[in-house]
Amino acid sequence: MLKKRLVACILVRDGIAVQSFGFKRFLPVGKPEIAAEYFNRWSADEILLLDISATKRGRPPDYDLIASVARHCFVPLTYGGGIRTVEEAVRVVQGGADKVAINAAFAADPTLTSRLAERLGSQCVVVGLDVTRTGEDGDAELVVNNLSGHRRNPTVCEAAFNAECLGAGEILVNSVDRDGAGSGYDLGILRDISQHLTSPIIALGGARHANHVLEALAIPRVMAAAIGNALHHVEQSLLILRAAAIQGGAKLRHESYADYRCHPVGSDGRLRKYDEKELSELRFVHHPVDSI
Amino acid sequence: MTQVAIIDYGMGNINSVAHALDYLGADCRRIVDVRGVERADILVLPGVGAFPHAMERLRTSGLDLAIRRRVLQDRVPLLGICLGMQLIAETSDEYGPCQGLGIVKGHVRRLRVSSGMCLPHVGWNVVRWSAESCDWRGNLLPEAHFYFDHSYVIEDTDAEILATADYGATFIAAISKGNVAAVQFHPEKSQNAGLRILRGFLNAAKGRQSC
Repeated sequence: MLKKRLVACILVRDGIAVQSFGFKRFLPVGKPEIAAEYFNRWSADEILLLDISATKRGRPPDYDLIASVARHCFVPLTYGGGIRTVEEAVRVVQGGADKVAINAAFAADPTLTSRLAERLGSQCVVVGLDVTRTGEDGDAELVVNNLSGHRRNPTVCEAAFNAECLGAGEILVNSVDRDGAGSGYDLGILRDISQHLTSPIIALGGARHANHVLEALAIPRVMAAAIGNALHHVEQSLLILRAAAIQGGAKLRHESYADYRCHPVGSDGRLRKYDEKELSELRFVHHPVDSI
Repeated sequence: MTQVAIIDYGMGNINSVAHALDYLGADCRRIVDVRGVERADILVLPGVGAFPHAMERLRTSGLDLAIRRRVLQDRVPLLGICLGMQLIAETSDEYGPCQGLGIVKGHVRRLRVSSGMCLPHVGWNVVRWSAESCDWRGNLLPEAHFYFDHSYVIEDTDAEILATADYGATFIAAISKGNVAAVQFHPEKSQNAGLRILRGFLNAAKGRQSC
């Protein structure tokens, strides 16, 4: 059976990996390729590399960035940011990405999706939708070019449905107002969209704990939960999160000698200390070297 | 040093295969023409895309005959990955009947999925390895998952079936026959499990050359 996916998201702003808060405030993390290297070792199912400054500055994708991240990435790599044409998408794939994500370009010209699908195959095309609930009535609205579209909930679903009809293999739903909030995914909009689609959905924006991942993955069609901010600055963050989600019943793959599945994890997502008795028993357990 | 040649015929992401082999310390280079195939000690045939288009590209560059000669006559080890696995079969149904390289017997057919399951089959799936595949598996963890990305699979093959996987129905995930081996998943994108399989193939291929 196909497993659901835990996706590590690396947000890049002007060449630097960042933690983002509502796409308004940013904290620098470091080099994107180093983040990718760690997430790869920590058993990410997929790496999502989003260059959030490319479209804003009106420049094409940073192909050197993609190549340097791809070098450390032995899992599927999805790249988004600044792609406007089929030729640019092909160069992104040649540079080492397995999928391309389009967002602003989809809003400007939805038919780009079908041209991309024709050239690269549907499985290679991800359409990103930015969603916010900052309007007066709190309904989910589509954000286009960083401006709230003043459009209501159905249009988010319509956009998703339209993307699927045009050949998108997956829909990336990014909750802008929850970005960096750590309060969990926008489950309402994920549920709405999942009723209109047959393709897999990737949830992004707002997750911090394993519970958030569990809630999102429980929705049919939501095949992947993406996390960004919470993975940085914590050793083996992804492995701990994965183990906690599996403890909670998520159907995720687990393959690592660093196995936290029997380890107590607190509600804050951090590991709890074993008690002394268990630790003393651990002293003579043989752990094989994870050599390839 | 043994030279591993990755055949680049313009289909899919060649770089990721190169990165993975590089990581394992293999001396690999991408080759685009018949001369490269003639020189190689080990051949890797990767690929993502449509079968007829891939065969056409191999034919126009003369790579199809060169690969067949090197693999069937000179017994050069070959690893087919994803579309590369399908290309070594005799025929495919994708976009109408089409001839393959015919290195192993077999036909490529669409995955038989039940209604409600989507194709292509993309994502991480469990692979069950047969008892005969132990040279390859090495120290693979028992619950190893691999990354798949395909709609078609090889069937009715005379090659030894090393592994199977389930998506709707059971399908063949890895085969071997003498110096030829092929996998339907992407080992270069399957993290440590995939790297182990690539390592297993390289070791088996080098062992074959030295004896």
